[in-house]
Amino acid sequence: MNLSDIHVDLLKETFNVGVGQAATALSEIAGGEEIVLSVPQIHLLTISELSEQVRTVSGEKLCSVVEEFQGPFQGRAMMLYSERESLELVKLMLGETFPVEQMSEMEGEALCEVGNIVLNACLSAMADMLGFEIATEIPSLMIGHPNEVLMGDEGEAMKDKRVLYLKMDFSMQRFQLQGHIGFFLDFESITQLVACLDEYLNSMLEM
Amino acid sequence: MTSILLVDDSKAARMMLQHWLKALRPDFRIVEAADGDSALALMEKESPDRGDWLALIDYNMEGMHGTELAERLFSYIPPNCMALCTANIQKAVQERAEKLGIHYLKKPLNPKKIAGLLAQMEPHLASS
Repeated sequence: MNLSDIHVDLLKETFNVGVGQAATALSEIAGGEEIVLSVPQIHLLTISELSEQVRTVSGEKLCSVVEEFQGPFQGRAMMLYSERESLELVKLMLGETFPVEQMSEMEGEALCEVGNIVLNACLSAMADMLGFEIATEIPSLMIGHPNEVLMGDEGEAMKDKRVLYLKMDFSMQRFQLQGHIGFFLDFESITQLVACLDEYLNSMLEM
Repeated sequence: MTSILLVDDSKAARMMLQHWLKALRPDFRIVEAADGDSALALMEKESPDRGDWLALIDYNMEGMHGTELAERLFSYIPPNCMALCTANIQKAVQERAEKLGIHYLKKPLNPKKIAGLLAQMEPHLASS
């Protein structure tokens, strides 16, 4: 893989803008509550290494809203948080006026909708910035050990797959909610990603 | 009577919209569908009078996208009585909605945004 410093920098900046939009959306869901964001991080690692890293933050049980995306390059966008935080998110999404019994029935759907809004905001901002269009799939909710969630249906076969992982942590103090937004890109997609970044760089330099 | 069609694959999104719409416009009849095909089937069955209906449509759904559905609903509902309500805030999607002449509303939604949208759409109803 040949991601130069400038590519890494640009990718972080794009992701930063994307997560900024995602945080705006999440804050809106939470009635204007501030969302604190970390700086973006980029790692090149295998799925099992990623799983280990995620486990140290989330514990053994991870909740994730996953959305596959396709465009000039393809990958998977995820909003990850620990299971104990999911009910807080549901409450935020549905609001105080909702009857509790309906809330538990709606839990999965509501979490998907939060993830959908947040991930789409992020992906849309990145696509607009780099000047292409991304198509997103319908979001799905996955709950389980980080290994199960990250490896998906393909299971163990995915263990040694190398991915480019972009992540940013978010937290909301008032609701003691934290999690992170992560993207992973197939190794094969990195070449196309670099081409998009180069094109963007050139267009910026022409201005 | 005014009817409003809600099309969204997320049950939670439809439930929230129902909740707010019932509070904002208790007289409206609310009809729901989870995707484009069922929305079209539903409208065919209803054979509505043009001018009595509003529609709020999600973009990313199984099958056809919200903009394709909107276009196919034009024989039942005029463009300015429809809105694309979506988390997909890409320029390309906003422009597609604009080209069709339908309203565009960014998710997350809230009662205030819905009230504003209704105020923009209602003057185009036959009853107004």
